[in-house]
Amino acid sequence: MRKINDSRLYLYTAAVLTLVALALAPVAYYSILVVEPRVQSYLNMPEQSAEGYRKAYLMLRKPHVFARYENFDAAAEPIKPILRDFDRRTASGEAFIPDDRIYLEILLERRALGSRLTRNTVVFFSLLSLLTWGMFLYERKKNLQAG
Amino acid sequence: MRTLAAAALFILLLGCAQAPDRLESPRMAVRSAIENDKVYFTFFIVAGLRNNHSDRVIREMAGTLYFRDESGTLEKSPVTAIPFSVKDVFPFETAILKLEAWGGEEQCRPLLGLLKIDPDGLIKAGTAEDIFIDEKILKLDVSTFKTEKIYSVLKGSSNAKD
Repeated sequence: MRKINDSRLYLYTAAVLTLVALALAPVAYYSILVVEPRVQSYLNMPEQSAEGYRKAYLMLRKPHVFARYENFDAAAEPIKPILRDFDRRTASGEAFIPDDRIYLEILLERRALGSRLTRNTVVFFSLLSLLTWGMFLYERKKNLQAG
Repeated sequence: MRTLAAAALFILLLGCAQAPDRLESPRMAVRSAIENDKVYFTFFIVAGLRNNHSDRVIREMAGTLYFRDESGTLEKSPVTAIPFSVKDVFPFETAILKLEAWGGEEQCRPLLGLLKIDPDGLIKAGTAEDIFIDEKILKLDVSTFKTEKIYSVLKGSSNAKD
């Protein structure tokens, strides 16, 4: 019986999984390391909180690609009135007030959920690719020994 | 293959910028008036137009609201084809559309029949309020509209403020 050589299949699978992990990693970590800390710093600005909140909202209005606002589940339906209200107020130049912080934090939390989901997906694909690389190396070693 | 790609692009573009195609909770009030021995009816329609986009403002939307029967053959008149326009509808916002149309008895009879309102009863009562309009008899035809990214709108107003 002809012995099947699976190494090429493992190689392609490992390469695709690695590419997916590499493509998603910047998406997750740009949000975790750059966007979210910056939004948090705007929310924590002790003086001129209205200006900080406005800047934070402008950043949050560009949603994370895996937590887009139209993708929300029914439990997150209350997000929509927040956006509706803040959009109108920001467009008309109305200042943010300290009470708005809690709603901005809800939006930030949604963004954080999106970036954590992406990060976990990166970890999952990385583990899968590691496993597949291992299988590829094992298969290649076995083929070298046999032939 | 080329047709498939064109169809995919069309669907993508359609999904990118779609105007509302239905009204939310359309309701109506009708009043009758007699002038110079002629009967006139005035229709007051209130409905919502919802922008379901999360990131686009719909601007300068205009079109016509048609009343139609099951066969779609209701004759066009000032009361069965009512023009409308809306300035801005922000994401997830519902713009309230308030329309008014009036016409003579002959013009209004088909519409009153469609709404199952007895014209003679209405003339006697003078008014019929809070009438729910079945969506099946309405057709929203949006002829023009623009869309703009909400981020650009907000950024623009923020820059103007700075």
